[in-house]
Amino acid sequence: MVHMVSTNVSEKEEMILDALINHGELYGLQMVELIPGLKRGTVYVTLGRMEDKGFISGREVKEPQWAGMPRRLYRITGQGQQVLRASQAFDAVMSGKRAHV
Amino acid sequence: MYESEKDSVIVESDLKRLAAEAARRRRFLSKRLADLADEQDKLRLELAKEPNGQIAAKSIKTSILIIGVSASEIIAELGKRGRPKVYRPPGIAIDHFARFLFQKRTYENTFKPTIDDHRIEYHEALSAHDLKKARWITVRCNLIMAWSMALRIPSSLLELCAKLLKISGG
Repeated sequence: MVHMVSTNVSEKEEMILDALINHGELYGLQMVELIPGLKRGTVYVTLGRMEDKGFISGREVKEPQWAGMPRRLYRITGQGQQVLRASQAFDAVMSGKRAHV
Repeated sequence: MYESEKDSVIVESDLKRLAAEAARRRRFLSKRLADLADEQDKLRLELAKEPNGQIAAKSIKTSILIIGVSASEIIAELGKRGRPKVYRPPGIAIDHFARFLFQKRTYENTFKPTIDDHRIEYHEALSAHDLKKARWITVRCNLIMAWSMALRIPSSLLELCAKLLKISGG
């Protein structure tokens, strides 16, 4: 059975998935610090959409040393990993074609 | 000149100096009293213009001069000024609006983390006694929330339409 994976991910989403693969679980603000071009005004909108698509999953974490509210921690899902691999392969093929031309 | 004559001259000059000083002080005090009377008249006029006969105490000195304003009113006025103002954490109003407008899942994925992050930063700024930063965080939280809502509204509307189509069997 052939399993089709959508490569319909934006550049921003790809960078987020890549950061999650490299760092494991991350908070939204940590991603803003790590990824250039990702703004704190739109980070949660992008993350919300990615959660809706099933690329990442988030959970609320209440750290004992923090007196404030619980914060949302994100990690990549299996589907997210597949999408990232497919997207990277697609990019590699396209860049190889461009180099060949 | 004998010593006693010298003393009398000195005493005479001192008396002249003291008299001049007294005259100067009298002039100063009479001018000050005239000024205070003018100020009192002005305040009476202002007081007459006020509907309830109450006027905000401009300073302790002037409020004591106002006839008809009791000490308890002055103390109450001063108490109002000294009372600490309680500020609400950022995003209270816009949070209710987002909860009302969006689905629970969308609210929890997109808007709640934004507000939580800003509240943490807000309380950090307050504990560092940086009121300017705290106020800026409140403004920024509202701006980001408004922008996020503007970005989420089209997709939420599409989701709603899709649901309605499914329900109607389309």
